[in-house]
Amino acid sequence: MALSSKERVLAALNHQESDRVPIDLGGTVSTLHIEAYKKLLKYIDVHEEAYVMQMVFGAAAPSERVLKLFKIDTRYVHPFPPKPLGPSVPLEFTDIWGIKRRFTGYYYDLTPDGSPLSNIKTVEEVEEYRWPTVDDFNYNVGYMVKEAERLAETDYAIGFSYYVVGSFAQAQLLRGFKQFFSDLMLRPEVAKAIMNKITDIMVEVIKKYVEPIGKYLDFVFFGDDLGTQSAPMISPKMYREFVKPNHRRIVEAFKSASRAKVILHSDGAIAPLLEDIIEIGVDGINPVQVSAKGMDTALLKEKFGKRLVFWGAIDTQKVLPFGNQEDVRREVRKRIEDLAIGGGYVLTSVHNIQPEVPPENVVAMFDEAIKFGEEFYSRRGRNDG
Amino acid sequence: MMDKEAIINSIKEALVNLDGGRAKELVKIALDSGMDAKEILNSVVEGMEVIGRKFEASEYYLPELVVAGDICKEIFEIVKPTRKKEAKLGKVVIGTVKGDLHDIGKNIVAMMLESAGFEVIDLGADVSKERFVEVVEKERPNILAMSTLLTSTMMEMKEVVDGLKERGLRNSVKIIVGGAPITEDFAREIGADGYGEDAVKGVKICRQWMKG
Repeated sequence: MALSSKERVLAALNHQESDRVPIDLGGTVSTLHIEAYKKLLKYIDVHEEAYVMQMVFGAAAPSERVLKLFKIDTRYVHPFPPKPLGPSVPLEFTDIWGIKRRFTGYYYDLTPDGSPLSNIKTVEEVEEYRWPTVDDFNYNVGYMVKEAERLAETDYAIGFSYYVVGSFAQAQLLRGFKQFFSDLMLRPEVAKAIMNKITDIMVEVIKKYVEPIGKYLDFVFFGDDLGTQSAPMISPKMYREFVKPNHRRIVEAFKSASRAKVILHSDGAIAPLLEDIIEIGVDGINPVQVSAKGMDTALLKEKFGKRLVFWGAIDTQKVLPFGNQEDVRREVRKRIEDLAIGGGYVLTSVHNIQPEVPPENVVAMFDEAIKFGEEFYSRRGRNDG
Repeated sequence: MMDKEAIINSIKEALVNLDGGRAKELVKIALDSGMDAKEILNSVVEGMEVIGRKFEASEYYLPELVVAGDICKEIFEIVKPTRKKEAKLGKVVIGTVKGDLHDIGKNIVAMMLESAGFEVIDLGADVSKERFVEVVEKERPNILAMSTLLTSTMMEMKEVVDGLKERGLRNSVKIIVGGAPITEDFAREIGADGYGEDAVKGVKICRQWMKG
């Protein structure tokens, strides 16, 4: 018997197999870039305006029609209604943290002078900085509650993925990458003060904006990039000392605001940090950057599969942009074979699908995910019976 | 009193242990005892090579790399005034290509090139094709080094190579490219002369070119 999308996602999150591997699209870090989305709309002959949910990444909000077409199992509550990309996008802007970004073609990148804390030297100066208050976020709670109630009437799994930032990546933006890494070694008290402050604010954000929709949520994301292509950015020892206490507070805030499973979004090679990440109560990781060192999906599943859900894993660095449709289908089958045994896998691309990705590859990814995701579990069900 | 070799080894060791205070102190002792700037900088380069290997082996991570880079820079500032008369190994123009603001990798390479004895003209990040061509024409460097982190800006490198061709400057300069999405094949395809898989290897190639 076919399950509902919600049941399917919940089965995966609870490490159980279902009628097919669930698939995700439309989260802040699991969607298409707006340009890729426009290409896709054209390719599948859907004549609609393209909406964005988040400007910095150029993240598209796929329409209900597109999500249905691809049989996507998830739906997201965003803090604001998605809107069409207007003709007057700003070239440069300063966000509520005081971070300056410039549009560089596809995204808004940090400008060379964009880090407001780059010149500070002491903990006192960290304290004195004009930090944003929870009200500055100005999320539209009325809209969020309405959306959550509307989605609760549907069969979909409901998520929140919008901009709950971890303190490690955010501190780099505020302080400047070089300065912050140097702080970790030479001025640890400054690094800790900045990260604490960020976490204080994010815990408030979770209380004020996530709690009102908490009872509807099946999963939440928070983001903190910890890895480079070849290794974690910092040693596991440094993670434990500086980052882990902050992550623990975020996870606890989420768990007291909802019963949702908590997914940590971190790019890069983070396998050496996963034991610690599991210990603080993180339920799953995204995007599982399979092209990074040590992120071999079979190995990850073997070592952490019983304790961690994997969310993502379809390669966006090589296969989706440069492979053909058959390469994409092979990639989908491999990831399902590696990760879906015993549940614990939600399939989507590793981070957002970029403008260079041919739309036929996007279609091939979801098509194969449905076909093989169903075949895989039904074959295993027969074997078990 | 330490002998020459002991001082050189201690500078290297202090750098590898990321003890900036000790490293600078030793460099001053070395200079006071009349040691050649070149010898001191050689020990710095050797130290950076050890640090590079530690980074590859996941003994060191980004914070260690950044601190090591800062120590190198400080040592370089101490040694610099004493080596005015010295002939440079060669001249390098370096920058991150247009559309890309990432410059950590590029900065590491620039610093290592400088420590290795090159005169380095760093154009920063988000450098246009026109600017690269203009500076190559004016400065007549031995080497042009370009970096990018993004797949979306990779092709800018080809634009620069083609721009140099159009101005008849291509054969006056060796071109090396590097950055996360770059491969040996890509470097060859766009008509570059070399590919720096990482900072250490990139600097090695530049040094070989100057020997050849």
